[in-house]
Amino acid sequence: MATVASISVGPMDISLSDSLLSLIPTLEFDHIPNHISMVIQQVRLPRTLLAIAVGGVLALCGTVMQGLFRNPLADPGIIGVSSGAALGAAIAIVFFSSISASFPTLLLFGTVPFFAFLGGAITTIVVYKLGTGKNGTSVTMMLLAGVAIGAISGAMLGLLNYYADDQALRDLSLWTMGSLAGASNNSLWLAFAALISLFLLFRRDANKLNALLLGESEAKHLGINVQTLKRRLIILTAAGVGVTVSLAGMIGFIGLIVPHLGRMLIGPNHQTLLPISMLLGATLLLISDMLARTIVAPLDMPVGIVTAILGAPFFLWLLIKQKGKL
Amino acid sequence: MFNFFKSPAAMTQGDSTTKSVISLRAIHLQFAAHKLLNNIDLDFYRDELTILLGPNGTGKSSLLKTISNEVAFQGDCYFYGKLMKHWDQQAMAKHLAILPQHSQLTFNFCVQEVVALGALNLTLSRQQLDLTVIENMQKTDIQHLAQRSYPSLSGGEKQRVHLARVLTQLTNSGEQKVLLMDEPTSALDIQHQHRTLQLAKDIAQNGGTVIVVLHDLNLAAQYADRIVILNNGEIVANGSPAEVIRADVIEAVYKHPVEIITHPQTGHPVVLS
Repeated sequence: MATVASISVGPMDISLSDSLLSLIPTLEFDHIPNHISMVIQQVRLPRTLLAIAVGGVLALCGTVMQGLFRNPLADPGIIGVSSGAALGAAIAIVFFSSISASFPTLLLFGTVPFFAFLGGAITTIVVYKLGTGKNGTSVTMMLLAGVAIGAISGAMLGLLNYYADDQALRDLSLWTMGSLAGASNNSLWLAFAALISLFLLFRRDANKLNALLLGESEAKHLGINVQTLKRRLIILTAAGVGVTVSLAGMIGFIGLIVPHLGRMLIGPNHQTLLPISMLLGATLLLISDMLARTIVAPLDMPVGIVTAILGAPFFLWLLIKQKGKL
Repeated sequence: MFNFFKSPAAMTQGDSTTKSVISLRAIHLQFAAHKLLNNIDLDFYRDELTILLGPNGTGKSSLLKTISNEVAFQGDCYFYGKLMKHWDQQAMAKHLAILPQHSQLTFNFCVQEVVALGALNLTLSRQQLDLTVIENMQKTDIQHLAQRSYPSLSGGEKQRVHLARVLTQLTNSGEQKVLLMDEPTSALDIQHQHRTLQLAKDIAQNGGTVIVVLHDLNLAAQYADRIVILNNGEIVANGSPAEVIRADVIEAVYKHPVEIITHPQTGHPVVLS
């Protein structure tokens, strides 16, 4: 439903039926002008699909991260993984922009996502080492580590601004706000490949994630190789966050809100929570992007602003609820 | 210091040819400059419920952690004749289950789901799993809590949920069940203290090997096949309840005057303090 709405909503006034009919590429309808079906097929459809994939990936990564940290406050944005990934992506953009001029596609599929993944992975490992000890996860350490890494990334991003040329600078501003406007066929392939493979891989570990919530020793005594599991989940979430950051910049709070909604709806069992989170994440980002496109129409607001407006008060509410337990 | 029974092998009851299930050899465990376990040699056998006693901080839990491979110790720990570190994690989990004192679980699982987590390593059909879970919830008297959310339970109820989970883990282990319990009765009322230890005893009597850390001397005297008392990281007594629960031993270890009488019905020693 949200998908249909997203395709038919936008700064240009196009009727719902015309929007849907334009999706069928082989047919030509006399009453729909060419430029309208162009808008639908080449602007709104890719953007809608990118929102679905990025939202789904962010929600999956948030769900897994909360399980991994055994803490419902973990989120790729809050604990600094997104900023780490953004820093990685920014380094790639600035220092490899000379290569990107000649091979833009190569850059998209290679350097930027890879560096974003590296940045995300390093951040996750650092935060995990700082935040978890023998007696479980220290929320304080986890959040503070996120603040520290966010500050480092922010400073480095600021510094990189001075080294960036104009094109790189425009790309850089995208990372800090988060936007789905850059949707293209290439980015869609990457995003859906990430969505589907992460979903299938996480799904296989769903029961192990449940057991991990008992504590690392308990999971080990149940026969799980905890070290391997943790390493695998950290790499996969960092890859997921890296892909979303390199395609759509830093979009916060989806990974925080969605697992909570999912748990309220169907409980914390990852067997069912993962698919529900993926659907909810796709829907939430789609709705946020519709708001971003329509609130200040005909201008286009970065969707990261919308998710932050929705998500930050939610985060505060969670903190108030957890007060005393921290 | 008080090595009245410093020869564990000589004190072991029953057939001396019984192969030990768990063997500890020259175990040393140190935390910073503090010696937690000092040269421990100890065997645990099938059909036996062994209870570990001793004052706070004398190495009881450290001994359990040594067996469950959670601490870096010196010496050798054998599990069914094979060095513990050579066991595959998954294979070992089929035989060795550990009931923790506390759990970190804060997520909103219902009781039934927590119990079912015990079956993670097993290949059970949906139907078998449901039956096993229900059976174990009945054994630990939590069937009425099946749909309750785990974080909302009391400490004692949580302990029983984990007991049911651990029993589920050992479903298909046949007679090769090894169960370690760290103060399983600490949060329980008197009825469930006895139910829990009776469950442990049943497992031991059906070919299993059970090791329990306990503080209650009288419960230990009533249920143990063998009692091991630790003090300052060393074994100071090892034998049947009647041999170990003696005024001189208890007073020397706990530095508290006691009187020991014999239970009029069961004949077990009873500690009056």
